[in-house]
Amino acid sequence: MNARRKLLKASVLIGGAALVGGGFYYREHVNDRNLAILLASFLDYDDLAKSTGKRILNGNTSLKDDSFDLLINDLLTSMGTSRNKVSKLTQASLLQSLHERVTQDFTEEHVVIIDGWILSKTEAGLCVLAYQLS
Amino acid sequence: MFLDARQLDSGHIIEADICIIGAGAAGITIAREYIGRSTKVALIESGGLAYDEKTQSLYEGENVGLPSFDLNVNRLRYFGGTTNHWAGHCRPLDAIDFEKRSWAQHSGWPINRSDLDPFYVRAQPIVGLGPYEYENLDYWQQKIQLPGLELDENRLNTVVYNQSPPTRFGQAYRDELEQADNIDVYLNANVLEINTNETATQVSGLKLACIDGPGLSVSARIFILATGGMENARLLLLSNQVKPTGLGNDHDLVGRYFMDHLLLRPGAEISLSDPGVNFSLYSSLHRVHGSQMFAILASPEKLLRREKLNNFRMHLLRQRPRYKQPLGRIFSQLDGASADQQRLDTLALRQKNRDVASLHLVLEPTPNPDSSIHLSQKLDFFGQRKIEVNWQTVEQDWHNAYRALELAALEFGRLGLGRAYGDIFGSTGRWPANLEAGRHHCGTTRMASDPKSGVVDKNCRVHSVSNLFIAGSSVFPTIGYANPTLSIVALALRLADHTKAMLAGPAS
Repeated sequence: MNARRKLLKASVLIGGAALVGGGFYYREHVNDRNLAILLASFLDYDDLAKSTGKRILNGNTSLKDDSFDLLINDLLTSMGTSRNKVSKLTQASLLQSLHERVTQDFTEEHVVIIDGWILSKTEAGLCVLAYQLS
Repeated sequence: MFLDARQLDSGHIIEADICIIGAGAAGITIAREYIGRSTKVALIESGGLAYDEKTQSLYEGENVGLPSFDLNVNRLRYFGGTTNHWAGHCRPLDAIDFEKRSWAQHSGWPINRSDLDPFYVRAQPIVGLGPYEYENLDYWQQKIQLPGLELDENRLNTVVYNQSPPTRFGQAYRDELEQADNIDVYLNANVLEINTNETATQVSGLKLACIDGPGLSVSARIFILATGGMENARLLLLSNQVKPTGLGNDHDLVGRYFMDHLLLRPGAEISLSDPGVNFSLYSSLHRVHGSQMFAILASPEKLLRREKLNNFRMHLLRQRPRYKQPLGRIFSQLDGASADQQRLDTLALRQKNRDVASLHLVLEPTPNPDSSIHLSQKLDFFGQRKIEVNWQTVEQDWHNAYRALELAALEFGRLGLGRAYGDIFGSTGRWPANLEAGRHHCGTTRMASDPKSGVVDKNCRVHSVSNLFIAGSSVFPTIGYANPTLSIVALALRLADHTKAMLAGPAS
C-alpha cells in the first residue's frame, strides 16, 4: 500500500478528518486508539511493522506491552507535542516531527537492538503501536 | 640477468655486494633501485617465472588459531611473489597509525608518517597508480561528479582509496631486471638457512638448495630478507646454528605479534529506505588520469582519540542481503522517501538487490604477543620445519568492530538512508561466523628502537646483526586499516636508500 493510500485510510479511521488547505486537521477529541492508528500509519509494510513490534516486545528492550498509553505520551513528548496540541497538527507536520525525532534518536544513540537490527527508539515505539493495534 | 639455479654446479658460491632474498613487491622494488649502479646485486627467488606446485608446497603450514586461509594458498612462491594475485587496493597508513596510542597495547613505530611521506610518493607509480592525492577527496569528486554521503565527521569520514591495475611485479619489472648488468636474478633457489659468524652478529652467507638441483651458497656484504610476513620469521627461526632460538631472536620476539586485518564481509547490511540513493562513489571504481579510485567510509582521527578505538575502514557495496526481512522498508515515510515507495516495490529493483547496501569492515588488530608464528614438528621437502600460525585477537578488537559498525548504523539511520542489520549487534563478545583474515601478514619481525621490543630497528636492520635487514610487512608494529602493499614498497624504497648509503661508505 503506498503512502497516500495509507494516509487516506488513517484519516477515515480517525473520522472527522477534514482536508483543509492541503493538510489534515483532526478533531480535538482524538482518542488514544485513533492517535495510535494515525502514528502507525506512518509505517509501511504493515505485516512487517507488526511482526517487528511483536519481536521488540518479546525482546530485551525497555518497551513493554503495558505501556500503550505511556508509549504515546513518550512519542508525543519527544516530538515536542501533546494530546491536546497534536490535534492541531497537519499530517505533514506530524510526519516531519517524527522524522526529526528519529534523526535525533540516531544522533543521540537512543536506539534499540532487535534481532541484529539497530532501530531508533521512536520508530521501535511505532512498531509496537502497530502490533498492539492488530 | 636471469639464472636458473638448478643449472649451476653443486657448491657454487654466488657472490654479490647485496643479496636480496625473495622477489616479491619488496625484493623487486629494492633490486630495481640498484639498476644502473656499480653495486652487484643477487636477487634470490625460490620459485621460477610461473606457479609450480612443488615449490608452492614449501609454503604449507597449519593454522592452529582463529580460522584463516590455507598458508599455501594466500601466498604465492614464484617470481613476483604474492603480487601475482593481489587485489591492488592502495592507501598509505595514517599518521595516527605510527603513534604510540595509550589504548592500543604495544602500538607505536620508531618512525612517523612524515618519515615515509616521500617514499609513499615514489611508491605510487611503482604500484601502477597516478596522482598521489589520498587526502584530497575534492580532487577526485571534481572529475567524477559523484556525491559523497553527508556524514557526521565526528563519526565517519569519506576517504580516498586507490586501485592498482593491479601491478604484477614479476611481469611489470622482469624485463628491466633481466637487462640490468649489475643484477642477477637466481630462480628456483631456496634459502634454507642464514649463516653467521660465531656470535651471530654478522651474516656470513646463505645456504641454498634447489628442488631437483644442486646445493649452493651466497656470499655478500649486505643481506635483505624479503620473503613475506610469515616466511621472514620462519627463516630467522630456522637459522639456529649459533643461537638455538633463532637469529635475531634474543628476546623471543621473532614470530610473535602476528597480525592480520580483521574482516567482516559483511559486517552490517543496510536495508535502504530509498533504493534510489546514489553511493556509486563508494561502490564502483572510477578512472581518473590513469588511476582508479573508489571511496571508503573511514574512522576520523578525532573519533579514534575520543573513543580510544583502533583504526578501521568500511567498503560500501551492493550485495545480496543475508537478512530475511528488510526492516528499512518500514521506515521509508519517516525517512522522507515515501515518493520512492513504488520504485522500491519494483520487482526489477529487488532482483538487482538495489535496496540493500553491504558494509564490509576492515579493522586494525591490536598487537598481541600471543598471536604468533612458530615452527612445527612437520617437515617440508627439504626437511625444514614448517610453520604453525596461531592467529589470535584480544577482547578490545571485538569491541572496536562492534563500535565501528554501530557508528555506521547510527549514521545511516541519522541520514534517513536505511536501517542496519549485523550479526554482531546484540551479541556479546563473540565474533560472527564470517570473521576472516585479510591475508595481510604483519608484525612477526616488528620494528622498535629498543631490541627488547622489536626485532629490527628504525632502518629495518635486525638489532643484533650488523648486515641483515628485513623488508616487508613483517616489520610493521601496527597495521592501521590500509592494505599493506603501498607501505611495503615505500619502506623498501627507504631501505634501498639506506643500504645504498651504507655501501657507499667504507666496507665493513
